[in-house]
Amino acid sequence: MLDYKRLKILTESAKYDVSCSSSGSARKNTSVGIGNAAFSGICHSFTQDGRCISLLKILMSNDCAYDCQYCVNRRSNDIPRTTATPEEICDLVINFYKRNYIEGLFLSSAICNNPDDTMVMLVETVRKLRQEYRFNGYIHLKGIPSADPKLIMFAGELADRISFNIELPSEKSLKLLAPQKTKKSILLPMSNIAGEYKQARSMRYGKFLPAGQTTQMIVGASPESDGHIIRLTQSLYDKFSLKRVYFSSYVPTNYNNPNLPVTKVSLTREHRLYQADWLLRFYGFSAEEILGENENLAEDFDPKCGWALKHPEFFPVEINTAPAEKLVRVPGIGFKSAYKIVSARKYGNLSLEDLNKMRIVMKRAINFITCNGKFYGTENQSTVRHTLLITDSCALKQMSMFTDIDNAPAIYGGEI
Amino acid sequence: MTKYVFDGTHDGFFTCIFEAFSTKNFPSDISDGADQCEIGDIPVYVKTDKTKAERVVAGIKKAATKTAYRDIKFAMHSGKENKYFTCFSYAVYVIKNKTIDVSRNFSENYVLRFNDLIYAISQEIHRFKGFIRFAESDGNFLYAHYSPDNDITAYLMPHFKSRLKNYPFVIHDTARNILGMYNGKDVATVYAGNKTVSVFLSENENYFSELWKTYYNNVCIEERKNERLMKQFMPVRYWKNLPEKKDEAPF
Ligand code: SF4
Repeated sequence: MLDYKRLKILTESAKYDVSCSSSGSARKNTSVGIGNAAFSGICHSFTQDGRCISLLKILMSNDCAYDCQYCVNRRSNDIPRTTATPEEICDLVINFYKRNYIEGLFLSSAICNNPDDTMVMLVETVRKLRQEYRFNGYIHLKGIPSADPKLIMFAGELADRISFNIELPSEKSLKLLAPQKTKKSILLPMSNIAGEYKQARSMRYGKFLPAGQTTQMIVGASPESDGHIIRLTQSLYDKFSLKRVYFSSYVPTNYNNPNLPVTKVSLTREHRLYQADWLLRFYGFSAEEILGENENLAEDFDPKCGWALKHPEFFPVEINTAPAEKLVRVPGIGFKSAYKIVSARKYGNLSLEDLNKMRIVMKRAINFITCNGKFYGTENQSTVRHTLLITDSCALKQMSMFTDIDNAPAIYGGEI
Repeated sequence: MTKYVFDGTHDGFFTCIFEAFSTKNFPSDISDGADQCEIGDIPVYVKTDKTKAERVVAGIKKAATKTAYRDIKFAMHSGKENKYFTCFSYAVYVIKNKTIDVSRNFSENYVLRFNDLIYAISQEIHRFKGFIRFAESDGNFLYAHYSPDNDITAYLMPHFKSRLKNYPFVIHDTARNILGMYNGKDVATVYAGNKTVSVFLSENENYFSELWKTYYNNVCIEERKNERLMKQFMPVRYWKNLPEKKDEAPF
């Protein structure tokens, strides 16, 4: 059994992976089994930094053969090392799961000896959990780049989700900071999985990664612009049908490499990237609409407001007739408000007073809409801008909500 | 001010609606007798009548989508003091406008307030699917205690039943002394009156709850601390039943 000390080591080394979502799978329990997966995901606790704890996020081993400069586990870093056995991980998962501490397991590992040995260890743990412990809860497995594709495909039959981390947003940065990794070694398995995933869906055979694949990149360790990152994100969604792209602000863990920043990257940047990602996935925006290739997202207001300010010709939008996909482009009107508007206007034309009664926050929206043809806002651009700024500084206080958006029920209240 | 007093049952509640329509004496409040009437209240005691109740239910089903009736039954699990009156006003509004289905008209206050009840209960159910904490008893069943704002135990049972299948468990709402029980086969939710429930924990229990605390304390990224956000997602009032937070709970 893992003791406190080793659990601590394996947890501390795993915590920088930000995704902890347990959503997207509806795996059922079996008659002799334990566990199932809830499609919308469930948060079991929240850390001091406000992130949802859904899965037991742990490394199999932090004893790494590689020397990625941005990572705590790099070979050259002097930290205590340990490796768990498959049984130890399984026991811990079952005991945590039945107490309802967790929704499942997020298993990852440093490179133990070489990629194949590592992947064998991970797959064996997951196999044991599923086949011997009869565990039907959620399993997110980290894929090890350059491991045997057969191992990865087998893992896909057992796990709910797999992620290969992009790590850094360009090949150049990878070369500089993670010399043992290449863009190809990361993208190739992602593309294999995407192919298999599509095929499994179309032929409806077995269960292949019901919750699909995701990835994560570190933001701010290397110099890429937000425009570059959002374009990369968009192409990852298009090419590999990823479920999510996660961004993780770089937290300094290495003060000896002149190529790495020594101060932490602002959380605002990560937050803005998540908002832009949200616009890509749900609001029907394209990367090109959001910002230019070499641009960075504005710090002062969210990317939807940024877009609105640049596109006066799109506004004002008439509340009583505009289709939902137009309504959600209005600053301050999100899905929840758009839904309320569309449901309520069936009963008759909505006045501004009705909107207030429906508790739709009008502060930002007022300058972008008409109600029965009447405009209530101001035409003065600098006032409009100012209003967006002020209202955003309130919203920013709730920052980092987006890091685990699909796990946070409260987010439905947060509209952008 | 007319105040209806009824026996707290579902039939009783729907009988109140019948009374209001047939006497045209619409109350300004309604209670299950648990609280005292205040000065100025004119209490009207409504006697539960199954036939009248059924007629009202049929009326609601005809006036609005099926979910409206289900929603009303659900909303009665609210822990809010004014829940009966909110449900009552909503039902009356739906019936009065029976020619068009107004059950989703969010620009109407009755609908909004009613929806707040539903939202709060659903949110709490969702939260407790995560925040319930079982401990292993020495009698080989899992035991969880909690004190939710709303009466939601019955709604949590199916979720844990399908999950834990081969592990009998008990979920104990200590605020209402309601026990949700699963014996490995069937589920029952019972009111334990003023009986006390005592459970002895297995030897392992402390070891695992300590391991969990170790995990919790180490998974946080120090540089990103944001207590306010954490509390918003995991309200302090729930902490006393969470092993990882118990030591910080204020009561
Ligand atoms: S392979 Fe690189 S990123 Fe992964 S644990 Fe080892 S040093 Fe860290």
